[in-house]
Amino acid sequence: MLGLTDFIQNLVAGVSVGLTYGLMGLGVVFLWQSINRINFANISSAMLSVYLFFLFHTWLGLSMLLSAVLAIVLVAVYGLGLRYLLYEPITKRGGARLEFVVATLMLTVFWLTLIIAMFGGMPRRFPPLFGDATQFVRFFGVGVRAIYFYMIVVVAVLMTLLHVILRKTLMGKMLRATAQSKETAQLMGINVNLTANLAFVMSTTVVGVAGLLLGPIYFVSPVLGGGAIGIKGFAAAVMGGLVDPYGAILGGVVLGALENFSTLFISSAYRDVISFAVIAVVLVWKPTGIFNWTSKKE
Amino acid sequence: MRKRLKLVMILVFLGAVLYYPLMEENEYRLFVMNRGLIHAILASGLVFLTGFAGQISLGQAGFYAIGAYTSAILSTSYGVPIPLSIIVGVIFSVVAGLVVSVPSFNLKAFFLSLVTIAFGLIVHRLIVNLQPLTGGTNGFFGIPPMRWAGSMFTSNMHYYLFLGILAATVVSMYHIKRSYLGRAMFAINDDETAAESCGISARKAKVFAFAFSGALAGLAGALYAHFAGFLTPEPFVFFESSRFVGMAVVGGLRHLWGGVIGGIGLTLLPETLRLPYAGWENYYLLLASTITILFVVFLPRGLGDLASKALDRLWKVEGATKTLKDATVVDDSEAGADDASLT
Amino acid sequence: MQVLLETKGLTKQFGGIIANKNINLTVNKGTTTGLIGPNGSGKTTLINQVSGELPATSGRTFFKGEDITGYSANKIARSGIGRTFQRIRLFHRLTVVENVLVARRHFFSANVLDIVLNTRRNRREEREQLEHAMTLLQRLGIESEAGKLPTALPYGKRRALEIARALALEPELLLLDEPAAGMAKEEYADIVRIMERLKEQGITMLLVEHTMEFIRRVVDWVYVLNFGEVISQGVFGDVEQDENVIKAYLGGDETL
Ligand SMILES: Nc1ncnc2c1ncn2[C@@H]1O[C@H](COP(=O)(O)OP(=O)(O)OP(=O)(O)O)[C@@H](O)[C@H]1O
Ligand SMILES: [Mg+2]
Repeated sequence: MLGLTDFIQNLVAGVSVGLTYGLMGLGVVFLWQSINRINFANISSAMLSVYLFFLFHTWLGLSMLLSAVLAIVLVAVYGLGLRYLLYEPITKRGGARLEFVVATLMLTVFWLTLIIAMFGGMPRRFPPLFGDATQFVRFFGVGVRAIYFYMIVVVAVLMTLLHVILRKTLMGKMLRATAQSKETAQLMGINVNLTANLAFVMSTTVVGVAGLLLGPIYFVSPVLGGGAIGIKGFAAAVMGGLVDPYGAILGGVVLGALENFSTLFISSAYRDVISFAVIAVVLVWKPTGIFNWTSKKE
Repeated sequence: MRKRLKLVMILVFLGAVLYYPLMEENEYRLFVMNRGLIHAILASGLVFLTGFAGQISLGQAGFYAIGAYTSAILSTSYGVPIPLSIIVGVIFSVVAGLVVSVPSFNLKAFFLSLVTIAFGLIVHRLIVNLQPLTGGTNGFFGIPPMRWAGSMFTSNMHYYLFLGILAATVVSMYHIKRSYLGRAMFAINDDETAAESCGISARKAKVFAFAFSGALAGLAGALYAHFAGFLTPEPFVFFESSRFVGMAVVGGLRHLWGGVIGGIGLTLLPETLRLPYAGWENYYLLLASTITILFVVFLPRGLGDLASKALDRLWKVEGATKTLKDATVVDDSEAGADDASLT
Repeated sequence: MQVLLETKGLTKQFGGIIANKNINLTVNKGTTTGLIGPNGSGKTTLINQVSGELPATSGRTFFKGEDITGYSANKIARSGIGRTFQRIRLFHRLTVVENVLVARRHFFSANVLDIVLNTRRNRREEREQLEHAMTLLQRLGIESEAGKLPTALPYGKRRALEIARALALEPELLLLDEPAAGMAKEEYADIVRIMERLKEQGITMLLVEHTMEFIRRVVDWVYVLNFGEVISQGVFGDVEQDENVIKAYLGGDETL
């Protein structure tokens, strides 16, 4: 029988890992809202940020915090590269969505092979950015592993920031207007070009942060750039109907919790299958998403 | 004059294709070429599904795996004769294709791609976890090879078998393309509502497209199982699915030959880049994926489009007018780049 | 006279908008029935409900006495209702004659094996249907365009092609949504000629049109819709005088 403490610990673990899935989902949502495309190399940003962090800290000897910041900044810039080196050239040559799909799929393979060529396929130790992996923090009277605690804190801070940006600033208004209709936004005098840049940058950045948060669990390994994790971001985004950022976060949380409890009650072998099943069921049953408050308002 | 040129070129091409294995001394190169033919069969199915009918599948490795493991398990563990086990493998893949086609009834192609990814991953996970049946990550060994008159298939025999099946695939697709079935595929791809108003059931058309492409992927998988002699879950991961789509796109989605060109081309490409430089071993795959991306970005209509335009120019007879017979030939090259269902 | 199409209390609701409200409409065999009304009055919605593109919120549709409510669009098409669209919808990757052949789908009996092996049966059927399609193109005066892609056709000929495609079903009822809209003068004359020819051949039609001159010339009986409801019906000469109708049109920015 599952004790209350065990239950809470599992819940915390599931929810906090789920929050990082939610961040990956956000990466999907931002891009979908602004350019109506899915970047299948979404997850690569997570792997890139982890390896950049590793490179800066372990190889170049920079401090951990500086390495992390630099890694995130580079991943943000990579978002712009994605736009100007991939999306725009394809669009200009009359490539449609399918071409973007294939190009980004190949991009995933590209990053994976690059990382494996440079660092080898074996996982490496993740520098203790969030303290020791075995460390516990007391949280409402329950001992919680420090990494989970950090996940919750970082995502909470990031979400608050995003909420303020999206709801309270001019930039957020521009983003939301562009998401609803490009033409109208243009008529309103919104700089569509700038908002697209923002969307690309935000999309890779949040996934980069998710990567760093997952580092203590997955280590510095190419697994972080693979399909099995990548699909979780899509599952989270799909629950939010691909358009609702809060829905994506909530979707990630639900997914994380489901995964954790399924490991407990069923078998860890099929843990990943849950996210696939969620995608299939949600898309077939309710393609507009189950946590979608954005499109209903329109 | 031009007509004769065309005939000569076709004969030379045929001769080269048929003569190739006889003069190939490098057994490994022939092995790679055989894999290329298998991939060409599978990629042709994707050309049919995506280029003709407008449906996306990023889970094609799932059908490939179902065909491969079904035939392997039946022939190895249950002693079913190989031709029969291959047929059963194909049937299982078709059934899976029918199941996967169900979400396509209501979903836009784009959302569908996510469902098909999920399908591919589920199949992969099942292979890994159903260890007693599939050998899991340890692999499945001792699959009986195909035999002819009591002796095992040689590389050359494999080559001719795969070539024959590929040829039959292309010919079938050619006939389907020019039949009411092909027109129905193109119609639902262009405009589902208009197609329905013409009495075309979009559902049936999609089911057919998924079943057909599933059959080809399953067939490719079953052939691969007996050709390789062992199976591991490796070739059936998600990235193989995306590589398959890459093959179809690089070859040309709207071209009958797209799957052949892309399937063989992208299989040979990494191998030709496998140059004997120290330290290079890790980088040729990187270069191969870069080249694929460049192709998609700079040649979105694929090599097939390029090739057919070049050939057209070569043997276009001046002043020839289109006859009634020509009128029924689909001229893809002029069609818009945007598929209605993909945008 | 024989009733071909009948709707009973057909209603369609989009969220808060009632696009069709309790519509009872009868189309007799061999006649041409008109559907007029101001913009947004629900004409296209009615056509779409009859053709099965939109499911009805409530009410029933009968065709040849059979209740076809809830049938899929393709089944309704096969049961003998052909249609064109307000905004022309053609298959732009297929040639003109192939566009027509798409609608001949159900006159083929060859199976998949026949097709893959290209048996004599398949070749014969393809030949026969191609001839049939060419005859249809000829009837609409566009046989010389057979090998072109629809995008290469001028607007008027695209509309003619769309009608040819609908006729390829050999329908007993033809639904035409604004067949003459957006036509240049000669194109308009061509379409009127086509309509009159179809009438002579005894094809039953239900058509939406804004051009009153067109209605006057080709229609036997007309229904007037306003805000989703039938506000008047009769021969055009009478309907034209109906005060409700005049008021409805004056309310909008169109005049009779
Ligand atoms: N798919 C839909 N979803 C929501 N509302 C719709 C839809 N289709 C039509 N409507 C609404 O239903 C009403 C009737 O539209 P409909 O297109 O049938 O009018 P119409 O008589 O054909 O107009 P027009 O002369 O402009 O073609 C309009 O108010 C329209 O906005
Ligand atoms: Mg209308």
